[in-house]
Amino acid sequence: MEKIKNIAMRIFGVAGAEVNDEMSPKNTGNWDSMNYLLFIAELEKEFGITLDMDDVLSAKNLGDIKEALRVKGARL
Amino acid sequence: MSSFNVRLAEEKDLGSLKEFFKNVYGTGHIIADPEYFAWQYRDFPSNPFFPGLANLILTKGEDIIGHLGMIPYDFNFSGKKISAAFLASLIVHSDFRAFGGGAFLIAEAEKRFDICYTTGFNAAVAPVYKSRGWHGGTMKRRILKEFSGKEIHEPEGIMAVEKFDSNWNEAWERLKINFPVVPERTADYLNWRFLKHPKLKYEILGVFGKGGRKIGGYIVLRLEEGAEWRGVRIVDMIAEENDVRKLLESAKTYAGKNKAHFLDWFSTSEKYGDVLAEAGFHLDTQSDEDPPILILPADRKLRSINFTYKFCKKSSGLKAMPVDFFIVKADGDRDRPF
Repeated sequence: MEKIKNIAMRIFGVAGAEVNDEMSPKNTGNWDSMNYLLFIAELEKEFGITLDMDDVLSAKNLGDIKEALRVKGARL
Repeated sequence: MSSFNVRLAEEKDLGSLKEFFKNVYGTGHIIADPEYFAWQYRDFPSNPFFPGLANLILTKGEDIIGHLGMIPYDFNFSGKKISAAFLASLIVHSDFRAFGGGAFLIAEAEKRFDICYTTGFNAAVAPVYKSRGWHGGTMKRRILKEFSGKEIHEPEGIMAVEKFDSNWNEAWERLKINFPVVPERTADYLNWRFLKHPKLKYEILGVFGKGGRKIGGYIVLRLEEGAEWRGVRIVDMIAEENDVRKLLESAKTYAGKNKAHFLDWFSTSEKYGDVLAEAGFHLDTQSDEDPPILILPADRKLRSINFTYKFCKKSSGLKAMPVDFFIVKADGDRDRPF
């Protein structure tokens, strides 16, 4: 989780305490489409996996993204 | 979980697409007009998907949740013919915007053309293009406001163009060397764009040689009449500089006859900059002294028209700076009826 937290802090410009499973565009000011796609790209690079369009578009919050990473075999 | 998919729209999707446009744009948007839609996205002379539609849709199960129009152009790239698309009406259902729905549509368009470009996109879409590595520029606006009351005279050799034909194609082959990166102005394209437009009537003037047979250049004018402003927009113009002088005189005459408040020209290129200055045009100061860009209705929020592009097929190795492009108001969907 530490890796995801660091990436989220850097891309979305938030404090570590704000990074949790409920984090989403609704409660994160810098969460726009560009930052989200950068975030996804960084996660893919970090964990060596590729998320597909369904994973990326069906996520509602950070918890959903973590679940998609787990399903793809990432060791969080 | 319903799967997401990006695919070309088909005729059978038109009903759902119309409903989607109504939901995201509200009623009355021009894109929901079937005649206009078919003209812009199906009947384009260089539509590589014809008789299909040049539209991508993002679906979730059976539902349309996003749209991207691709107006396909043949481009002249320093003498080489390449494929291009003006991306228009990128819209994604609000639930999916922050999750990159637009980026998937753009990515799919990028697979199909050498260059993708767009102008006048809104701020909400800018991060999506940026995330895909698109380059940016602007369309500069040049304006003339003081022509009313001046003596009106028609320069010699200027006549209305009723149809572009092979004479024009010959002229274009000669002229296009002056435009490094430009949508091909073939007779087929110009006839479709200006003479077969389902909603707009343009004033198209040509400069002709002796005898009136050989056309050497043209200007396309659109009279826009808003509640506060009446303007003549030069939406396209191709000619040698000496002929541009004559065409601009005719444009002034047309504007004067129609009691317009201003005449303006938008372009990504500096082409004609000196001739326009000589004719009295000045660069838009973006102050309240200049007429607004949008006059139907008047709206001062839009202060400039942005431009962004990407060379899509990596193997082609093409490169150009924003000012190398000759993109004007008529290229794309910036010259909509409303």
